[in-house]
Amino acid sequence: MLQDQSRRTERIRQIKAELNRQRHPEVQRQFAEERREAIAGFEARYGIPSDQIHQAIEDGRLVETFEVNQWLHLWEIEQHARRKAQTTRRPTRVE
Amino acid sequence: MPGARPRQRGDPHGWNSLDNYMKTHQGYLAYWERRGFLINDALEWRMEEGGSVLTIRGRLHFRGGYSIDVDKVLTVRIARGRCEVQTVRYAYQVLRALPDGQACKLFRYDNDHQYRREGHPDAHHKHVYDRNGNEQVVWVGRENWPTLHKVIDELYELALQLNDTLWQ
Repeated sequence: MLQDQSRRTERIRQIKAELNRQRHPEVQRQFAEERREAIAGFEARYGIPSDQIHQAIEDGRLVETFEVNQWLHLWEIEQHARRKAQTTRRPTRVE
Repeated sequence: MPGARPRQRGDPHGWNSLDNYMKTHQGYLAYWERRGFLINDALEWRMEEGGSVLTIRGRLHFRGGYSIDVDKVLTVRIARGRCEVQTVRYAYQVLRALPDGQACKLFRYDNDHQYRREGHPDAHHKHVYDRNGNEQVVWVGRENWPTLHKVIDELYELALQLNDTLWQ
């Protein structure tokens, strides 16, 4: 039991160290690039733009598989990133 | 990210400190390792978008040729000086390896698409497959969607039914 606990603590320590390492801007840039490449790959493979995934499932042109779930998750994060970038770029209003 | 639900007392899907989330998550995995069911944890944790999004992706391998493919998106916030997380998207796909090396889909939970035409009131649903691979999508609902640990429980029960040689 104690061994289990120390293994769990060690695994948590490893994950936290990795998450902290990932905060580096270069790693963040790399993750964003990987995400955009993966989205482009899905769009090319299925011939459907990401903003039409739900419509394509509704129409029966696309089956919702686990891979499509992965695509939707990436697309959701990408939309979040775009909204965040827009907010950041918006000039500060001077009162 | 979709709007977060307000945290209810005891709500397993509400906002949770990242520390507590990790302890709970790893605690359950340690439990299944100790029981000899979980063989390998190949989940990758990623902090994305400047720390505003956490993803957990990869596969958990279980005895008997079973596995769960995981793809989770959690939103991250800082509240009262601590890092908190809440799941916004999830997909848990349960598979079983066949003797020919192919993987057979057993079931999948996700909340990525709302089947309105089928009358689903929200996007939380389960894909179930019969022996011939025919699929049915069953509504689960926002009050009943499972944590990963509930999915492991369900897999364990199913594995016991399907595979009496699980422990050999």
